[in-house]
Amino acid sequence: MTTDLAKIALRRSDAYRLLAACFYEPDREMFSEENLCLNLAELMTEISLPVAEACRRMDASLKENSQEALLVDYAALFLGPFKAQAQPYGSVYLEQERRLMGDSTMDVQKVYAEAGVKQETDDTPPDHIAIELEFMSFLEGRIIQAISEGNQADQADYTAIQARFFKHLLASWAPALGKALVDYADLEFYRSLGQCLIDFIAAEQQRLATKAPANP
Amino acid sequence: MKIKRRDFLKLSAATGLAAAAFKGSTLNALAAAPRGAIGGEKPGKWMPSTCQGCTAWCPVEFFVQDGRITKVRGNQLSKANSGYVCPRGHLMLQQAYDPDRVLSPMKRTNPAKGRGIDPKFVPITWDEALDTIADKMMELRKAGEPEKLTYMRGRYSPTSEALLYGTLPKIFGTPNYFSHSAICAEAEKMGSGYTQGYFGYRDYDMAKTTCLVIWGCDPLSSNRQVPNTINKFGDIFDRGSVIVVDPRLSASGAKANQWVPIKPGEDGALAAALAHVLLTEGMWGKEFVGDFKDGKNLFKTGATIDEAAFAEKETHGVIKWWNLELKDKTPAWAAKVTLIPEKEIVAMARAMGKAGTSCAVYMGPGVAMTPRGTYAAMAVYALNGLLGSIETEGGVMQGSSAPTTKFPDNSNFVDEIAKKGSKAKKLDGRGAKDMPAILGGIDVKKDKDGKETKSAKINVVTNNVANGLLKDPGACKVFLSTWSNFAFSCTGAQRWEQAMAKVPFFAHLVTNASEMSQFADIVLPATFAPTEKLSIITNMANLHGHMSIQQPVVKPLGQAKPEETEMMWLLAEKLKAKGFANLFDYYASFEDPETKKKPASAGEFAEIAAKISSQKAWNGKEKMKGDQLSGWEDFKAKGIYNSETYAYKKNWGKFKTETKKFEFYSETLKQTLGLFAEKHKTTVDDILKSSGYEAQGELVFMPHYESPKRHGSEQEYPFTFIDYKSRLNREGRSQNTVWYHEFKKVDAGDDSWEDVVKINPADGKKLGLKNGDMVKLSSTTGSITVKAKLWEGVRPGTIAKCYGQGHWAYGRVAAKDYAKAIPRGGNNNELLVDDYDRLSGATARNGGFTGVKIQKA
Repeated sequence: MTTDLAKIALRRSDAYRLLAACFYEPDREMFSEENLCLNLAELMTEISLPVAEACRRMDASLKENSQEALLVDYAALFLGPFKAQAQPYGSVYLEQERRLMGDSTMDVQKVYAEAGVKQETDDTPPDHIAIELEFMSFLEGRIIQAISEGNQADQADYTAIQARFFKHLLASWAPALGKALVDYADLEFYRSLGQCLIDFIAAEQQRLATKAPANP
Repeated sequence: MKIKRRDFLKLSAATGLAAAAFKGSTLNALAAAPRGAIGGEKPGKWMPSTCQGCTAWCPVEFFVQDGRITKVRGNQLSKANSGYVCPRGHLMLQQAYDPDRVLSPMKRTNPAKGRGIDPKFVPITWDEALDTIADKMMELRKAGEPEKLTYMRGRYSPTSEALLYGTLPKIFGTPNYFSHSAICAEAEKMGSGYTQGYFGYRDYDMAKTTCLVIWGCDPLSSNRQVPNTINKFGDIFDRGSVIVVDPRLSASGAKANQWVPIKPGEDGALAAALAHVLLTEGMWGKEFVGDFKDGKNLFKTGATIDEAAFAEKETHGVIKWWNLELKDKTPAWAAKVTLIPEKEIVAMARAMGKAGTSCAVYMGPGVAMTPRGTYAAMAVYALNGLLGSIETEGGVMQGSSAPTTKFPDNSNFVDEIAKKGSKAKKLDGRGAKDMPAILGGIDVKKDKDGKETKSAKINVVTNNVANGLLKDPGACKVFLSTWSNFAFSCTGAQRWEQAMAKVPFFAHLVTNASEMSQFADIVLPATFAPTEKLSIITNMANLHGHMSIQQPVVKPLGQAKPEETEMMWLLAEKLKAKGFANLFDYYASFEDPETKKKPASAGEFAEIAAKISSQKAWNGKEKMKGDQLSGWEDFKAKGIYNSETYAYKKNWGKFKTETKKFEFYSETLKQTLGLFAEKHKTTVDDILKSSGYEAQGELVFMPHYESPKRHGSEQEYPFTFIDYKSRLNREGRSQNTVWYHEFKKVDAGDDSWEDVVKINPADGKKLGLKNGDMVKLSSTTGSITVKAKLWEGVRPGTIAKCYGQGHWAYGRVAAKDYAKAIPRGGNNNELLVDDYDRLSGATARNGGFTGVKIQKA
């Protein structure tokens, strides 16, 4: 039972991590060589999430488009430089003033410290979608470790942190980012990535609903 | 953001679960760290830096907590702002953390350039960006045409600008480097320059002023010392009065004892009439100007006076001025052109005369930045001379300075190609017969044998660069620009779009992409200077000069770099690698003034440059008359050096004019124009005529009335348009913050989240307009569509709109729809005509020189 739980958790950790990778500057060659999208599809199937189809569409789009085409869409969505259509930072969605480095960004930073991680380079605000997804992957890893070591206290602790972080931070804005991708992406790769994010977060919401405390 | 580790993309092995989950390689942006305390923030601290949101360049402090800025205030040790910032200072929080900032270098992939055409930018590394720029520059050097490099600067640091603006063009070999200054307020300097020999912005003893005459500006909102004015303004009412001359009811006007809503462009007439009254009623400053030898006032309307009858003290030519210009400029005459009743003009003159030497005439760009503005600026400024309030208690001062040190001379690094290139013709047309741009007076050069050669100093004509580019598109092959947006901020803005579309390669270093970046081949992320750049900023206010540190109080966002120091070092490295080492060799020759260490990296170069600039203030070697600082660390911690207090009358008898006196008859202008005419082998009258001025003969050399020039006939374009600045404008850079729009109503007559044109209700009635109607405003140059606001704060026939909005290419707040190039509001510069005060080279943007028609949209 424990092993099964741990196995699923490991798949979930990988799913968060591979999903995070999709939000970095695209490297068509590396993404293709590592079979990023199809591996993500497989993971989603293994953890019984209905998003494999979106991942396969991403794979097809990756193959169809040039590196430059991917970069142009990536930039238009996440970088601008005029108006990025799908801002990748949580605070832009969560703060009234559509700003970077808001109170919610500081909350994210605090949870990272609480869980025992720090950003390797700090030129990007910590609430970038890729970093938040990576953090979820990291937490899942800690939970697996606790399970495999039979450390129930740690398991409960990391589970609680994860549920809290997800409910009060990540899940409160990621669907809006996903919708922006669906609405504004030129390429299927990013449109499907948006759908994938929406569906994945929705499924995780159900899973984690019972684990998060009412107040952070 | 790049993936650093390929393992980040790999699936974990299903076996060895704990180990698999714990491979360090599965992390990319994060790294495991000891678990920290839960909740609570680290204690923050106030860190000094400098705001550059307007020309006050205020010493400020940021409250920094957990690596984030949360509050702003004035530097508590600053004597210029007494520890306060104005409203615009607070907007820095939103600018620093604007999500639309450029975070990474980007390059264009769509070669087509124009409004509404997606450049299709993609991210690149700094290395690739600088490599490309260096390649383009090297092509010019190899082809022996370095002059085809153009550099234009917007906002800059007054010290480290010398490392870019003062070095790159010279060592590379191009004469084509242009400052934004001529679109700012430069024509103002003609007023004090050709009367008092001081071509600079003035300071005021507002703590002691008994009558403050604010003319053509709104110092509670903008113009060089906003916090100081806010701080001192209220007490002036207790000592005397405040008079505001402005066609628009400004923030200062709304509080003043007397608001004088002059017809735009008629300032010279009002000034002449005030001078007429001050003289005929015997209210001139006798200690400064002198008096009739027999003590009897001979200034009678219409009467010519013998010059020998008057003994002048610190001035020159008051009787000539009276005889040729003032004797018939009665309040009754002025009332007809200014539309200010005669009685009001007389009352104003008497209030000024009563205050005498403690009456300060605070002149702003509204007077000067008009075609023929030089003479209005001289006329208005000369009132200070007439009152004798030059360098007196409560009067007008020249600037105070702080003891900066220049960087080492770069002449030894200029090679033959550079010398030849630098002699090419400049693109801005300065110094042509019809564009004298003689802001600065006489230039005296000595040769080896000590022989002097005199010539007229010639200044930049920023806005004319677009015309130069359009006239000769081949003259610029590589264009670099920093902290600028000329396609928005220059009048006749549309010309810049046409010009920039033709430039083969353009790199733009900015905090936010804007209209100008729409034409860029490479966009580079600039540090937001007040919070992320290390440099030394100098300025003055409240009778003190200061040197203020600007420093990274937090880490730069994304990959932003400071343009004048770190970027230049990195570009110099690239140029060196491609065979042109002079720029790098010059930078690398710098020495830390304390340790004598030479820079080995971009960061070290920036710090050494800041230490060189500021060293006198803290190195203990010089005896400082102002603050005493114990060293570089002490200076960094306090953030400021305040100079000694300005001494009254310190330049009396030694003004930098030809006569050393305050010149009502400007021998300095006479000689400068003479030298200029001689160069063109023509007469001074011909120069004046070619440049569009009315005066001929002796009148040319003294403050006098010139009628306002107007583009567009009164029949076709019946309304006179005036432009003003918001107290929330941070130059042109705050319109992408939501606070700008939320608080826009703090500007008299304006509405939040709107960009209204203000129309007098009487005109509104005639046009059948009501509040909120959309109207199309058209001039001979262009059209904008904005919302109408019926408002009594402008006189019938005049309409007013704030500058700053109307961005069609900017972030999500400033531009309504970037993709469709739909602006939020309208850009005044698309209406205002490209014209100049040609004697100074300054761009006309005030004085109602543009006629407009209003149509319901």
